[in-house]
Amino acid sequence: MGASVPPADAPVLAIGGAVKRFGSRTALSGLDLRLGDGEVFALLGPNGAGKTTTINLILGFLKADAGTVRVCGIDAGADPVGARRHVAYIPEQVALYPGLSGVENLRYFTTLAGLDLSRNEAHALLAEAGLTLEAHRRKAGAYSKGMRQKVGIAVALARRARLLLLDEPTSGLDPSAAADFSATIRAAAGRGTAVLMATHDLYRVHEMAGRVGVLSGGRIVEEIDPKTLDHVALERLYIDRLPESTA
Amino acid sequence: MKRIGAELALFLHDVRLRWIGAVLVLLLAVAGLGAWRDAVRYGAEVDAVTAAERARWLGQDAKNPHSADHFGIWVFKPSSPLAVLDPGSEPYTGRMVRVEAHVFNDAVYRAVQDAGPLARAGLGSVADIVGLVVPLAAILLGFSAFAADRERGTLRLALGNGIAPGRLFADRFAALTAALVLVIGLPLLGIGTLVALGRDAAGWQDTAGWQAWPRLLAWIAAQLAYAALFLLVAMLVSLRARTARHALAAALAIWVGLCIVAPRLATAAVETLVPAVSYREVRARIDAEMRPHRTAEANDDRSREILARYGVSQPQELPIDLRGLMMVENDDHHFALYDREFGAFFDGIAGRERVFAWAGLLSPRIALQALSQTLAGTDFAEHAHFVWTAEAYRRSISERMNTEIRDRPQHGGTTLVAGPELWGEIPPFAHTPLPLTRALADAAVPALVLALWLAGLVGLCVPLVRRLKP
Amino acid sequence: MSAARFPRLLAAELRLILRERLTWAILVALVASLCFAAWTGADRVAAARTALAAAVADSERAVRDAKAAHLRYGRPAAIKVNYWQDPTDAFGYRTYFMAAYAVKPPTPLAILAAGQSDVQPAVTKVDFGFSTVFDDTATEIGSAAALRLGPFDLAFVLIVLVPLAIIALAGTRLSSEHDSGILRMIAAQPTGPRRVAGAKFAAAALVAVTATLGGTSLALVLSGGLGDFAGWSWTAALLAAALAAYVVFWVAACALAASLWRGAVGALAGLVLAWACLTVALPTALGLAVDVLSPIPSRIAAIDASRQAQARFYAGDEARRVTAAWLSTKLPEDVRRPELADVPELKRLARDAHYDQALADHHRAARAQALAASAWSRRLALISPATALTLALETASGTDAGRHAVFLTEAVAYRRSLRAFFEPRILAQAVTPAPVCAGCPARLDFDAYDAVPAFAPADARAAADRQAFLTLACLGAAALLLTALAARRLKQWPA
Repeated sequence: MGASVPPADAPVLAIGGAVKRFGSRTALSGLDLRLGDGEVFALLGPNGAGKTTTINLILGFLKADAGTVRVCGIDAGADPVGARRHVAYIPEQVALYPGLSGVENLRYFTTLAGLDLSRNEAHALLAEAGLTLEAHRRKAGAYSKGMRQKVGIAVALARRARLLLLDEPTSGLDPSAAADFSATIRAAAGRGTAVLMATHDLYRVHEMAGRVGVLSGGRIVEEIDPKTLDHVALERLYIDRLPESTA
Repeated sequence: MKRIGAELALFLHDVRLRWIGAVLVLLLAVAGLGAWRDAVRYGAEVDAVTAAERARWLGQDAKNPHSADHFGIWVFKPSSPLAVLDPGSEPYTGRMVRVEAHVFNDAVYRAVQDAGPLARAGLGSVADIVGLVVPLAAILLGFSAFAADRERGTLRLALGNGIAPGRLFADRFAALTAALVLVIGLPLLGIGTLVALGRDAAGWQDTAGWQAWPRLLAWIAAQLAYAALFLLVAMLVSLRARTARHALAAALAIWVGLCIVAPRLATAAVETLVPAVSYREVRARIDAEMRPHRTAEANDDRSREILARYGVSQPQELPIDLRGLMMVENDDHHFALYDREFGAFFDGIAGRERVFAWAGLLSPRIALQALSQTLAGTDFAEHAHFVWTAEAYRRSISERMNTEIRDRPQHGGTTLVAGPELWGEIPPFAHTPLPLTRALADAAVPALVLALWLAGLVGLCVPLVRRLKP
Repeated sequence: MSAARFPRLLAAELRLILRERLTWAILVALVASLCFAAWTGADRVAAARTALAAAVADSERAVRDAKAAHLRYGRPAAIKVNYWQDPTDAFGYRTYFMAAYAVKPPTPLAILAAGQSDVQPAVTKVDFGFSTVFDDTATEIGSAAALRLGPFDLAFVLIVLVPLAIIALAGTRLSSEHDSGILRMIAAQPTGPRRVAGAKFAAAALVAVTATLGGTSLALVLSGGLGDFAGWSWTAALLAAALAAYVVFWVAACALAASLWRGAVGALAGLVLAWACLTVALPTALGLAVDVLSPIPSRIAAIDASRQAQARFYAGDEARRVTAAWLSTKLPEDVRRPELADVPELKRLARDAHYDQALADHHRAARAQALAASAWSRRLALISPATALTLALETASGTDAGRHAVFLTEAVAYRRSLRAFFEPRILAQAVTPAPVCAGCPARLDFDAYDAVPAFAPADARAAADRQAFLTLACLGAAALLLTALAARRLKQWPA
């Protein structure tokens, strides 16, 4: 398992010239992206722009046809398990075992990651992720999307991953849950976790992200510092960058 | 009608239907044609040996009639034409009987005995395929009827746009039933027609009395009702299931329960609840009762009783032959014993078979088995009918031979010798199957049970369709 | 952070599977089925023992009756005892009174499988009559409906229901996670699909093996139907191992189905179809193959041959000629007399020998076919895991077709030994009819009732061990093959 030890100076995420084709369709056509500790990067783009492909490459579910994808210096294509050791991923729909409680789900997923959480540690992590205490022991089958996401965050917290991957994290959340979520992510970033989120939610992007990349045609066509624009201007700019057909 | 046509057109394009149809037609054709070939071969052999036996009987040398009675004759069970579709109890019962003096011989050589041990695996006949595979096909066709639409959201769309759920259900059921008729009814009708026509054309074994056509049509109707029943099961499950996966899992579980587990449970339950005397015990009882009758002392007592009855002291003074009369009376004793013991035994088995028809309430497969074999003329009643017909034939020979001896007293130590005229007096063995009306009467219970299943499922449909949720 | 250790992963999966209510519902149903099946099996074995005991009692009764007849007829009396009424004569006793049985006693493991016992009775009376042509006419007429549906025995539960229970338990593992999206959460953890699938299916296998073996043992103990185990523990151990391999085979099949990533519907449908193919369709096809490889000689042709021989024997003076010819092979020339050919007892012996000769080819063909069919069945059964295990269980139960074929051959040999015992005595009596008691009504020339050979059933254990071992080897190989195939496919998570 020596391959999984990251070079000390490697960036958390380094994608260089990544190309991914599915038959005749090109999903990514030379994507470049670097992310350092504590950075929050929002990947903006319409459906089919390559957001999910990017995430799949980072997780090692897919291998790039050309270019490199490195997580903490580890090639995700060659050693996906090693790369994933530094990544926590929260999909758009966090799916949990409906028959298990929040605590049990958390302990199960962390066991897969090689951790051995005590019950108390699990409770503390869920509380830290914002799940109210009475929900910890309830079956996850009755959880709302926001509650399930909090369990997902608790898994990420438990794993102390250096990179947090978020796929449409706020879609379908009510405003207060979304605000909670933003706060939790900002706190994680504050502790040095790099965050890559793929989203449509310009409001949350403006609120959370330090950097925004507009993904179109399989590569980042523009990188923006959201602090320099208000979110109406951000929206205008985003729409302008989209290809005609999707705008 | 147009909507049903549209649904049917949709199904006909479904690759699932084509696969299921192809597999079913293949299975039915292999089983049906294999059985047909065996039936033709058996029929031809039986015809040949029956003619040879008759010739041997008529061609006997002049001899004492009792020797001819011992020489006897073999008789063979004519197979129902529909045995090709549903052999029923035929493989489990003997097909040939040696008819001879004194003994109620068993019908021997059950096909199941000759078949290899693997042949009982379950798909040996067309009826087995209908009983086991057709429900599976109906489930695979029907499980997604509503659940898949619900999962895709198209059910929401349909109901939201004012399509009446009852209509939707009825149309889909009608279309799927039509599809099933296509992949099950037509192959069955094809094989059945081949059997009925081929048998008439080949001329082997008398088909008269079987009334093959009405039997065939009723039989196919029963199989289709059974298929429709499982289609209803699948669609009902589909009405309730959240996803197609749940629907399939639940429908398969029901199939396993009804077609695999329940039948064997029913076997165990019936055997426990309706205890039957074993055949071995019956035979032992008959032997035990015959033993004291057969001793020299009993024989002497009987001959003395006859002499006393006629008021004479010597056999030669009798107006009849003592040995002949004793044989007549001896046989009468045996006949009464056989009637009592075997009569009760066969009645017991028939009673068990009737209970099995009611056990159809546990599983439609059991009801179909009972109904199908009764309609096909291959049920146990038909076998018992053959056994008793053969026994009646045996008795008619023994009686004729014995009375010949009795009525021609021989004196001075000579033995009566009879010739071809006497042998010719015995008609060839003729077996007429039970009339169709009897089969229909016997089929009433299993048909009722199957109808109850259908009615129950339709009854379940109504509230479920009414409360259909998208 | 280190990779998850497998035992911990396995423990987590075990917790997961044992937390599901469905698991417990399946296990309870399985154990209940096993107990019920063992109970019906115990009943069947008890009935077989009763039949055996009845045969023994009948044999003893026949000897008792004959000895009583010796006393009864041992003084002068006025009655006439014909040869068919006389148990004190060798021919009379052998032909009309003796109750000699060939029996196939249940093995200590007979409770496991009904096998062919419902169509091939284990007790057959050795008969010197000639109405049946063949020796395998013993029949136990019963409900044909029950025979068609089959018994609810342990073999049925273990071979047919256990795979279904496994499919219900493990058939949608991984694929239902795939459908619900949980798989994405699992895949995002730093662990490969082989480890996760390995833990998931190993947990399912542990639960299923424990439930199957434990449930079967419990059922056997509760039913009390196991016989005296002495010498059979090795067979039982081999069978338990084969059963475990069968369970692992089905769990591996579930893993393979999951590795195709076709979703739970696809996995379930595929597994149930595979189950139907392996337990129903393939055995049927193998049965057809056995029929083709060892075609059944026509019973009707044999009947025809027997009747031709019979007709020939009774035509003209043939009976006398055949008897004289037979006597010339049995008696030295100096004791032969022409009138011996008219002695009814000798005529009868000669006639039976004549029939036997006429039918020898048919009997040989039938026996060869029975042995060939059972040999082919043994070989072909190994192709399907279900038939392989069925045969192993039936052989251990002593209810397989192979043992029956051997039993019939032994029964024929037994009949021959009885004939060899009686024939010299009958001949000697006919050649020099020495009256034992003047004025007594019976012949009183035979009293060696206790010296009549008894049937010695062959040992069924060697065949049972061999079959169990072969089955274990085949099932083990099949389970390994499926596991390897599944592992090969589970190299990568689906994207």
